[in-house]
Amino acid sequence: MALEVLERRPEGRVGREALTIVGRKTLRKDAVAKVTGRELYASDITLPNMLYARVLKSPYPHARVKSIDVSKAVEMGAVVITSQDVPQVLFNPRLVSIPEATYKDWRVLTDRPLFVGEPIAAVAAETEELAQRALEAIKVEYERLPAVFDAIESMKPEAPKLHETIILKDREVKVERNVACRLEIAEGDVEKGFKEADVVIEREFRTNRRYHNQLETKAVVVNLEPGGGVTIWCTTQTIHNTRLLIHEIFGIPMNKINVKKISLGGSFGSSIHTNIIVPIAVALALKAGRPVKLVYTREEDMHDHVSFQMIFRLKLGAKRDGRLVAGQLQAIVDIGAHQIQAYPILGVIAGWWVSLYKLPHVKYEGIAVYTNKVPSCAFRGYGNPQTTWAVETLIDELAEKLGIDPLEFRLMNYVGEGDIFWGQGPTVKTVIRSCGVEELLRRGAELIGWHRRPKPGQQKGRFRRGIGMGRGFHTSSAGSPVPGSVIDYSGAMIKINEDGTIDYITALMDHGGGSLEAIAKIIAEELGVPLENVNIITADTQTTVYDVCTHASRGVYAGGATALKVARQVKQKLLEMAAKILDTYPHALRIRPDPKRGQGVIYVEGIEGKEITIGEVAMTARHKNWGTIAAVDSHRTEAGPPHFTAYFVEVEVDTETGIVKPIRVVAGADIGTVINPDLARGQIHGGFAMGMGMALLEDTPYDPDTGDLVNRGFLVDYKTASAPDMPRLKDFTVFFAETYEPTGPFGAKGLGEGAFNPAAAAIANAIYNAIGVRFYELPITPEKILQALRGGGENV
Amino acid sequence: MSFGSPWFTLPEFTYHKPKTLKEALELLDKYGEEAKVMAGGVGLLAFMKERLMAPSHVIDLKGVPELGQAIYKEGEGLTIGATVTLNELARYGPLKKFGALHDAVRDIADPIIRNRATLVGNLCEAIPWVDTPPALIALGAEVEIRSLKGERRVPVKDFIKGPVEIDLEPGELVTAVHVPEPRRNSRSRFIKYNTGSEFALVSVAANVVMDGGRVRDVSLVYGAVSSTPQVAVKAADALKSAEKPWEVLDEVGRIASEEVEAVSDVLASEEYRRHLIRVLTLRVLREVMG
Repeated sequence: MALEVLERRPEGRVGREALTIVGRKTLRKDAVAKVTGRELYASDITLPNMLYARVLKSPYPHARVKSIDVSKAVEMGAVVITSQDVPQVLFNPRLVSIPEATYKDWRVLTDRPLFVGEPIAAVAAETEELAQRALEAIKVEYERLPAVFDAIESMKPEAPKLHETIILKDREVKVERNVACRLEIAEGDVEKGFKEADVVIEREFRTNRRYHNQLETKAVVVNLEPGGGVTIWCTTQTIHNTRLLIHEIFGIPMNKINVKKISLGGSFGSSIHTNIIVPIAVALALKAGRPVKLVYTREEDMHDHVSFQMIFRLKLGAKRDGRLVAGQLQAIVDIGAHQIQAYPILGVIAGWWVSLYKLPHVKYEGIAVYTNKVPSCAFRGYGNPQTTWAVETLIDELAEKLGIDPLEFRLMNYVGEGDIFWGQGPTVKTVIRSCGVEELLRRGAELIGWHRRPKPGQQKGRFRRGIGMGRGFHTSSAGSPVPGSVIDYSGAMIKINEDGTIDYITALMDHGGGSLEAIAKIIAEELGVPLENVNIITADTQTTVYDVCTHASRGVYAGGATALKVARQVKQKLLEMAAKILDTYPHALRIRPDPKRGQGVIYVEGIEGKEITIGEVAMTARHKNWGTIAAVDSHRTEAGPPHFTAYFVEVEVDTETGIVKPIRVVAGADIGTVINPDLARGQIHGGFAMGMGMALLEDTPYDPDTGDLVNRGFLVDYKTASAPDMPRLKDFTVFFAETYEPTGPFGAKGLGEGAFNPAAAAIANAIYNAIGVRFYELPITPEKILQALRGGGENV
Repeated sequence: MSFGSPWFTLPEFTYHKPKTLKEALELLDKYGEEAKVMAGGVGLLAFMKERLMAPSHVIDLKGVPELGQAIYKEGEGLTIGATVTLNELARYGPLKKFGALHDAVRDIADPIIRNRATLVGNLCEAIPWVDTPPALIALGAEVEIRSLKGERRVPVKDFIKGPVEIDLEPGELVTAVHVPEPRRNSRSRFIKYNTGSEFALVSVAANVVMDGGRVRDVSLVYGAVSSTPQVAVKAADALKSAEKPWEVLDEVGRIASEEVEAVSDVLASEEYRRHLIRVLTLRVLREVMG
């Protein structure tokens, strides 16, 4: 425990004694392995007799494969698969939702590619280079078909049709006008609401299509087991759903598919679904009868996944006194060539929208549209950053029109404690039980100097500074008191070893953000042992119970709640045994960590001599044949509570070049009890960098002639914010609200996505404050800023 | 994208590593157009992976000792051999005398690339957005070219003929770049504009010779704006002819932004590039005239 520094002891919390481990700064368990390069990732796995694979991809955005000649590749000694060699099933690679909400339109390999980069065939050979040369020897004759690159264009009657029929659960659905799916929601009477409003503003917003740019590109290694089984190491946020999908496609019994947990080099939502390379590698391994490794290059990775682009038409109405009365939102979502989570995102857009501000009358229409582009999937925030940018821009505008301070306007209307929160869309509802919004807004405003900010558009000169804010939230898990259309439960096994150390075994993934580190602290806190005694076990689908996925900011909240539940079961068994030894009663015993002895010590308060270490109990249990002190269980949280965040940003706009530089940031987060203060701050720093990319830099436009990305997948032509673009650390203040979530483990909530969601909105509002111009299309590039300034400050 | 990913395998070639300049020139003479020389390989291998070049013979110059030297002689200038890396050059003390080149060399890409990439390679790539050519042109640098037939010298300005096109015949080798001693009362700087991306959207190099309050001579060269570095002649004339040069900087920037070629691409529109030319011209002139 020498490395632990007591940062704060959240005393006096509801029903809680002082915490001794949760909330402390500690050394990460995986830190040494990571900084010394010893941590293993999927691409590090090398097996005897292994082949290397490469994937042949469509060079056209829309085509039919007329013929494919693989003879040369086979002559070179490669194993080749085409669409004829894979199971002829339609599937959806994401299995987080129930079947009634899962549209299927994917094949492992296709002969009708719908985007540049869609897999047509794959080869495996003795070396990666030979595989690539074999790939280049395959001759494909394509019939090029017309393609469409814009969601609005795609819905027109003359647009090329991408899919004829797709599958929903077990029935065929006809696709009309390239609409993948739609969702409508209405509450109250929106027409009446707008009639009651004194001020109504309606705007159209268009977001960018951003690439995840996670450190680790997609990778998979497949081994064949005697008896027809497969073992899989891959980049995934969910080992169990990967197993389910391979079972669904290939019909291999689930007890013969083992998906191994392995470190993940970031993901940001790009592996909630099973990446297409996984079934491709399985098909290759099955045909070759040998292990297969397949690792994507960065250029391939950029042709594999991307965020959803959204076109919003948003209308809000308010009374003169500042009360919002009605809202209407149409969201047209460009999903690219295939569905990964198109239907769920339509639900969550509505959910994020109505959970920001109280709207008595609402009407929502969500339309997901196919285009001949890289398929969109979840991306940190899952539609929330886009929605929040639009809403927070319009809220700022409304406040100005009403003559109310935008901060006060938000405080009058936000959805807070006691209100209903739509965590993950209309089927996942929760009553908010903890809320630090007011604290975040008031304290953040004070720290940034909100009331001294300039008046918009009044500044002259080259550099113009402005202060803006954006607030938001994200759900913590998709938990809810009743089942919804999203599956959300976790599993954990905890056992006490004979020396008193603890093994924590779970399928829950850690993307690198430290979710499992936090859970180890939760277990150590509950069992009263030093943190280093808790061991996070490398596990797989064969040795763990189901866990849905690490997404939806649920790792610490739902995964932690599950571990806590199991830890309590273990503790009960432990105390029963200790009571037998000490001649007392289980409920009379307490546990404290004893760093000197490196043990948890069980004792009776005030009575000398009545104490024993956990190790002694476990060893006694062995000698007396009482059995292992262990428990395994599943857990569904009864809520999916929001964690709230607020960004206050000061930007400097260089009116000569149009460059916007954030120079000061104050970020507040209400995440309940803070378990890992340093890692929580890190999430916020990273969230802001990503928000800056969204607001100012990132996009993946297409070249209509080639149908390919304009940057062709080259990272040098994809702009992201890097360290020199960020404000200095001393100008980046992070603070946490003093809240306690009663449904969370030791009062904790999630953070990963809330840390990002309102950042772009805050930057956009700060730009308005500096130069008096609002932008309705992202990213807000230097060129757009100069154009706007030249255009006399008209909103664009 | 037609076959999986580009940037994956190299086309097949024979690798040569001569130990003397003579041997290198003989190999070049023998294989002519079939051969490409390699120093750091940063540009060549990337071109080959994308199949923009597929030489049958690659001649690695790193084994030739005399190509690996940077030598400064007072009054004569700086000679930079073909295999001198950007970081070696950046660490070479006398480089500071050549302000624009010093600026350009120190800020290319990242330290890992600068450890491999060479100045001569950077120049010979003749990619429109590379940083060193504008600086070299503004400083009046020349390219030293050798072949079995003899030796010739070409100003950098004429050496770059088009995008990825240089004045080099089969059998010829660029052995060095020579930058002349800066003139008295001269000062040069290089500025590039980039955001969220390592490549310049627009870069500018300026080299002025002051004479009292007036500008006796000036060279203004722009990179990343068009397919080749652009020299602004009219803007330079306007500055030279001004009696009070400080008062015409705005006008000089405007002239430069109108006279040079500029294009649109994924990173910026032509209009924005012209705007940046004007802004950067002002900034660089304020620095070199100050």
